Amino acid sequence: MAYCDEYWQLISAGLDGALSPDEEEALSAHLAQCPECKALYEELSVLHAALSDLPPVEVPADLHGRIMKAVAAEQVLPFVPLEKKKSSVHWQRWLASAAVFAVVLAGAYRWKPWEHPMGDVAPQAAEVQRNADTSISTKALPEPTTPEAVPEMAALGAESSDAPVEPVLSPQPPTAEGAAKAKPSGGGGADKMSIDDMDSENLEDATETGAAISPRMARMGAENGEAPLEPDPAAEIEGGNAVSQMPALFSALPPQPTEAPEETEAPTAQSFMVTSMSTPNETAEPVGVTAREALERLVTYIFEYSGYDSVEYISEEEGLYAQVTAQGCGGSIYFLPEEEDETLYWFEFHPEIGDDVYYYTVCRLTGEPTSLLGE
Amino acid sequence: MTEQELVQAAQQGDQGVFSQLVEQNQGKIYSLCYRMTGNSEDAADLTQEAFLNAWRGLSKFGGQSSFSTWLYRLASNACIDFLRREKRRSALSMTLESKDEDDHQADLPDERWSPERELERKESRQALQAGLATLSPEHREVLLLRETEGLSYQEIARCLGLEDGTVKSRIARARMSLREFLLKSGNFSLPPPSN
Repeated sequence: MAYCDEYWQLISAGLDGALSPDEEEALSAHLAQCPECKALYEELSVLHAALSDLPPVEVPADLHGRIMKAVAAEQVLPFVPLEKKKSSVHWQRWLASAAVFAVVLAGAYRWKPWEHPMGDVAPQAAEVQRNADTSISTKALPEPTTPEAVPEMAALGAESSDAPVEPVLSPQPPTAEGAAKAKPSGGGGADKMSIDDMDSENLEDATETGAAISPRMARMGAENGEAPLEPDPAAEIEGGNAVSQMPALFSALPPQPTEAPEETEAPTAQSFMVTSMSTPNETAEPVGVTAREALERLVTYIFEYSGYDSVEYISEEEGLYAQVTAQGCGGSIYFLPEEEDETLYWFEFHPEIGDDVYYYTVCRLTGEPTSLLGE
Repeated sequence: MTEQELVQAAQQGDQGVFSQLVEQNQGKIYSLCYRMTGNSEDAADLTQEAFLNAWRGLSKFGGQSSFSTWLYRLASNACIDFLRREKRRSALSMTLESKDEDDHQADLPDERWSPERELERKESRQALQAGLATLSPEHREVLLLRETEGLSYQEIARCLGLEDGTVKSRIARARMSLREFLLKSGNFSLPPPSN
């Protein structure tokens, strides 16, 4: 039976009372003179009634007890007081943006942090900005992925990641552990990436985006923007001091007027400075890429080598979703708005085949995707 | 206490209050999980997972939607992920359960069931559940949320993070797929609608 293409969806919506008066009228008129659509309407009505008529499901008697037992067995409280959680969660966001800052400055200005002890940062930051104004025009700034910079950074990152950082840099242990295993849609929402993840292997990937570089690199970037390059591997920073000074450092910097970077592919140091120097508890200005753009970039990133046949984007204020069809293995990518992250968009990728779930972040500023450890 | 008050108290770590929220919502969540998986043990596991995720993520619940909508979302995600993992194990990612007729809960038909037989009430339910099993998890979840859980298009959209239009078309496609399965298997002799 050949029903009419234009009406089958209306028939379905009509069963749910989801038609406008005009649509209802049009559908009634059509059903009166189209026997095929009338038959379809009757079939779908039968289905609708039968499904609605399924008997209620009996809940197992022990379900409630089982759930509460599991809840009680959780090692952590279900939440952390908001201010404390926010600051600890944002540690690594800072590191990500500070690290990006560090990479660009290191590449551009060739400074030696050990020659310039940390002092009042704000004037230095202003000076950096003035330097940027003058020096950028005459010389192309290297991208964060400068080949010269990356191996050095990676090496430094590898070295410094061996030195354990103080616990304050680790994700809030119980919540993060629970969240790392739980679905982000309902998980604790803490970071998926910890200092422990910043091993040299990850850094090779991470340095492309400037994220996940060691705290020492971030501190080097933050300290001063004037010294020449040649970061000294021996210039150890006490983990605790670096950590405790990081928030103060960034807090001292006045919020800069935001500027959209001229090139999203190769952001300038100036734009980095402008947008990286925000206090941890400030809401990031909406510069950089939108969540939708981030999702698009992530699709390209994930399927860079295998390619894909088609992608369907479903975009809604409350959520983004992309369904990718690929000959090898497609999948679905979900934007995780529950991850309230000021510098990164979080995504979850479910390949069509296999039972792995992969997490990605995309830098809100640059749109650079980063792959996190899969689960 | 209102649901909002219960949630706020639970957010302070009150497991006793959370227990009340579990009691109020476990039926609908278990129902969805059961119809998604067709298996009571998997349904129980997934229900537990949904509530555990809710407990862990309570601080993230901002109250923009109702608590049950949020729970449905957690349960949907858990079910979809589960079904994807089970996908390769069989075309029908459900297991059979044997129940007697009195204790019937929309069981799956056994594999020797003949599609030529006239459907009785129990068999029509079996046919429906078998048909649901052939739907993609995404189609199955929207159809169940609409038909068996009674959510509106807007509530489903909110729950799954979709546009209203997407919900509408996805439900329509799910119905058409189900209809096609039942027609092909010769089981579309369900009783006419009572209206």
